[in-house]
Amino acid sequence: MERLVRNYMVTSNDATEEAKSIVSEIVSSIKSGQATLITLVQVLGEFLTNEDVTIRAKGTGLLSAVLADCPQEQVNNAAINVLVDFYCERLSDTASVPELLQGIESLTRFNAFHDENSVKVAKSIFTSVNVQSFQQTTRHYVFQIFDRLLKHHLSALKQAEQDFVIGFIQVMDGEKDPRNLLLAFSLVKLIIHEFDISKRIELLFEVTFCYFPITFKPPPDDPYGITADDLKIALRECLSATPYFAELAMPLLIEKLTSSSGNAKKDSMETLASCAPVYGAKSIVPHLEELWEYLREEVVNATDDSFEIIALEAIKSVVATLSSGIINKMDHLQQFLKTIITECMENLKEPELKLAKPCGRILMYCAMASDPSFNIVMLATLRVLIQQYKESELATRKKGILEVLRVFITASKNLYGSIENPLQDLDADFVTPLSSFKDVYIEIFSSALLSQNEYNELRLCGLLGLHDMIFLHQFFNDDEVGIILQYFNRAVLEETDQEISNEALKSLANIAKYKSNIVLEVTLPVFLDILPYDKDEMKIDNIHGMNLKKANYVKTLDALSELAIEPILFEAYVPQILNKLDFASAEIDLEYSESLLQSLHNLLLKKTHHSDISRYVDIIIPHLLTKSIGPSLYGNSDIENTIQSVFFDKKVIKIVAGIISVITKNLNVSEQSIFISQMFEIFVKGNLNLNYLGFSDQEKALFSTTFYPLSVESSSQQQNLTLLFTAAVGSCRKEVPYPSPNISEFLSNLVEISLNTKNELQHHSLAQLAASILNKWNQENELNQFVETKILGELRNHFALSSTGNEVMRQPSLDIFIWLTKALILRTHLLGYRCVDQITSQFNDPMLGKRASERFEVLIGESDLLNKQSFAVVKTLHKQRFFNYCMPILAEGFKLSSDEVKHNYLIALSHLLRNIPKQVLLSELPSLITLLIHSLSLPDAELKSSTIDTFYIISANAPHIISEHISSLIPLLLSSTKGDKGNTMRVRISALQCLGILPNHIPFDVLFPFKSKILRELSAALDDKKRLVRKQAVDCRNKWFLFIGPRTD
Amino acid sequence: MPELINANPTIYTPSKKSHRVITPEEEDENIEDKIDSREVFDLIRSISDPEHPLTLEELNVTQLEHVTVDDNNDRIVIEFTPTIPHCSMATLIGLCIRVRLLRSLPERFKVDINVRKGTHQSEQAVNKQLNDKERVAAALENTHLLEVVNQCLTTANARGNIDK
Repeated sequence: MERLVRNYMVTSNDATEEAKSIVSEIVSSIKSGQATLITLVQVLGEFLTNEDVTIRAKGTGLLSAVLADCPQEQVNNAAINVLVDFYCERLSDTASVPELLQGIESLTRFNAFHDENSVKVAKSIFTSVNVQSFQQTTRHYVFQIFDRLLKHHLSALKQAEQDFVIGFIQVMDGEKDPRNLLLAFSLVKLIIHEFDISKRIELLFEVTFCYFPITFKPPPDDPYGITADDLKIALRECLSATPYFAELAMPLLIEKLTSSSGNAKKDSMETLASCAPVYGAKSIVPHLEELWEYLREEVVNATDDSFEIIALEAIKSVVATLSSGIINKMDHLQQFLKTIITECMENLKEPELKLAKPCGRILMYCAMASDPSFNIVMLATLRVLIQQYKESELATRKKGILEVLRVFITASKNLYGSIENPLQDLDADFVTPLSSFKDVYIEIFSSALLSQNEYNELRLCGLLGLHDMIFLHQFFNDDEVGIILQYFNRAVLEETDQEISNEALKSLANIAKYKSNIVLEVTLPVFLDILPYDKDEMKIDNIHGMNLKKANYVKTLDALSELAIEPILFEAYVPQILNKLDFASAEIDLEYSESLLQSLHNLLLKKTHHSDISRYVDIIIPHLLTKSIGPSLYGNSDIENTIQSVFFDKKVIKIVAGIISVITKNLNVSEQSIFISQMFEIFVKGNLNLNYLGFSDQEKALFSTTFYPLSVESSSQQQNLTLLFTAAVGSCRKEVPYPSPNISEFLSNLVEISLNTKNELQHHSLAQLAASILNKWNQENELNQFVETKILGELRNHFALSSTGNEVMRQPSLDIFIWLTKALILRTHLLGYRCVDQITSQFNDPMLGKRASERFEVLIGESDLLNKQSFAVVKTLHKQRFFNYCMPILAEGFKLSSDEVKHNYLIALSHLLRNIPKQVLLSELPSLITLLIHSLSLPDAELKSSTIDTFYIISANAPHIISEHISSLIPLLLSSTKGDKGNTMRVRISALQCLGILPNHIPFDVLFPFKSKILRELSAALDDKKRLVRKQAVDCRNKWFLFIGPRTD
Repeated sequence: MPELINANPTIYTPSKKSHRVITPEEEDENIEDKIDSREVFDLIRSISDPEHPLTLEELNVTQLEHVTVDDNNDRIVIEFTPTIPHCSMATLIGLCIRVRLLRSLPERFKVDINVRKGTHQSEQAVNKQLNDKERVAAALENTHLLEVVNQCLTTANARGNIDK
């Protein structure tokens, strides 16, 4: 121990590694029981009492550092008493105060530290330490100590309080550091709540209000992580903690309201809003006139919306405060509102003018403040406004008034709650005062919506008003809602104006969530009825021409996929849709069938959080399977075109696969197991007698061939159905057992078929299915063996040049290989990276090089089968791992290759960069930048635009790197804006966007030398032949015109 | 705050229908899109009024119908309507439109910017100023004026999109 202490005392400063290791050595010897704190103190004795101040401080520092890490059980009551006494007495030794306070801070953390100690510590700090004369870290210890004391020993401090409040005021008086202030403000708030401050109000107020308004700006690198808002809120909580502050604060707050600084104004309004309810009506009444004047100014002349809202919130808070007074104080409320209402109504006489909108908003916030204010404002204004509405002819004027009428609906929703957002403390049968105007409201808003050939904005306003009223608590009965829904139905189905019909649909969809039963009754049947389902209907529609019919059902189906989401609505929708699908497929109406299926698919995708989907595994899926499988079995494959079916269409099959996939994902493990064994029975064994499918004997009699979709020999219609199998099996959880005894064999089989089939769709689908199974395979040994022999062995031999394999097989085998590699990479399986080597080694192959590099997109891009939603094993860091593995290979390969092959490396790189997280990209930038600049000079458009997009990201996130290369980058970007060959629209647009973002991030002095060149060269892009490019050119060029450097003020 | 010339102007809600919807032709690399009146209107509709935080479109100062474009003959004529006939801001508004188009249109165009007939007291004087190259250039030498113009143009990129 002595040796350690002496070594410590000769270290140059206590932040060195050596000093730290000595401290930890001492701590561990105390932990292990070899030494005790007492021995340490004894050894330290001579230093602690040394005459040299630096030695005293250093000795104290060691003791404090040890205490900071000392285990709880080493310090008992007796020890703590001794230590506290020791530390407190020494506090007058100014030179050692920083080390002492550090020690005390540690002492307060011990369980043994009790109430009496806390009183002593507080008193000693107050009497012996002039806190503000020390540096920030030391002061921070003080605030941390008080934080501990006040939170854990509050009652002791309150009892023993000589003058804790005044002591604390002295401690914080003059504090300037944001970290300390944040802590100090929270302590002041606690003190205000807990201590009797009545005699110290003025001092306490001064020591806090002096910071108002907060003007703190975090330093550029933001080392503290404290924002101006943190401080503002903390200070505001102090100021609004006690009504005692009212008298002192109000005049000052009002004075700051008139300040010319936006920040001060904003802060004052927000502070006023939180203080008013605490200070109470009495303190506000004397200032009402001024308050209204200033706040009105802010609302009416607000230049940005956030200011307006803050001012409105302040008005609301004032009105609410006035409302909470006792009865006779209501006079003030009446009076105040009267002034406001008179002024607003004056402006609302011409509601099409600019001031009408802010005045309407003021009325809304006043009404929203309290129940009495709502009644007062409503009674004073509504009759007049309604009268005015009825008398106006001018549509713009009518719309202006309707907006104000609508304001009361919003206010009522806010104050009294709505169906979406019910208030807890309101009686269930409470009725909003607005109900007394219900009839006239329905009349006005309905007629506004229904009036044809009217100003669109007026009709929209009517629509929105009706929608909002439906959501008012206890406002309409079901019949009334039903009538309004009929209006909406008509607006959706018959309205020619897109905007109104869209808005009506949005309203209906919203209402369907809360009033499903009424929508089920009033809306759904009307919509479903429009969809044709027999020949007659089709014929009638033929009179209007096919296009009209199609436009109609497409629109209706789109609407239904917004509406029928809720379980009871979906339940009514499904059988009807399947019915119509039967009709459409019997008629071989491809477009109609496709639309119906698409609508069903869209709806299912929106229902992913609903539990009712799983039921439909036995309703929707067998229906669709029967429909798709049946036609592929009639007639033999030689004359396959004689029997037509919509289910021969690839697009249709893809949608059906999508539907199967959504439903499967929503099943649990046991439901999936049952479902999957049925799918294997059908697709692998070709068993069509299952009850699940429900083919009738009649249908079965027509079958002229067996069902074997996974075969190379089957008809292409059957092969296409592989998609359905993949959708089902690929969407299963990894716990679900495959009903195949030997996975390895099954996988080999799939790979084999995929390799040999001529059917592109089947090839692709099976490659993905194999990848999905490989990815979820949990038998590590079997998996390794399979990868070694089958993938890295047989499959690789098909495409590797050295083998004497068949040329035709090379590309398909590479494609499958890449999918399987992806399966391994996703789970960060080591063998996956060995597979990657095989892929990159093909880059210089004349036949496969391009393909291999382009397929990096598959390797790292998102897949719609191998993803988390389909329960694939996706490790969080797989992209980083893959990137880190590939980066050196690509960079090295690039260096060593000929120009032609270099291109392939850059393509692979661009896919990589597009798909990795930004942080990973940025950390690797230095090694990438020359490759990227090289990519820009190549003629490949795809590569160019994706590289430019990368530069776009870099500009925003690592501007210094762009700055370093700016002189080579800008000419390359400028030449990419030219409409020459090779620069596609996308390249030109990306280049212009990238040039346009530079002024946002790159320092002025770096960029300015290029300004005139850029402006000059961009004028050509203004005359680009494509409008979309011109738009970017205009935006970019104007950005550069406005790039005039830091303002001098 | 200084007294505003027109403190409480009428506000027009721009129809949302007036937005250009991207057509398949516009996305087709091989088709040439002519510069049309809507495209030019889009350039100027969202310029801010010097007095209010409102756009020229919202104040009905600029309207699609009052923009004429002939791409083949490189001619553009724009008429604008001051909010009140004695509006002293008319020249400034015209100047903003002028500068915006100078920066945004190919140089081949000859652009006339005029106050709409009968909507301003000193119509002729304003028109003369706005269409005289030297006068426009001289006005832009004035850094204070240029700053005001730039300020009004900061919103122009919105092209009538409601949430700016």
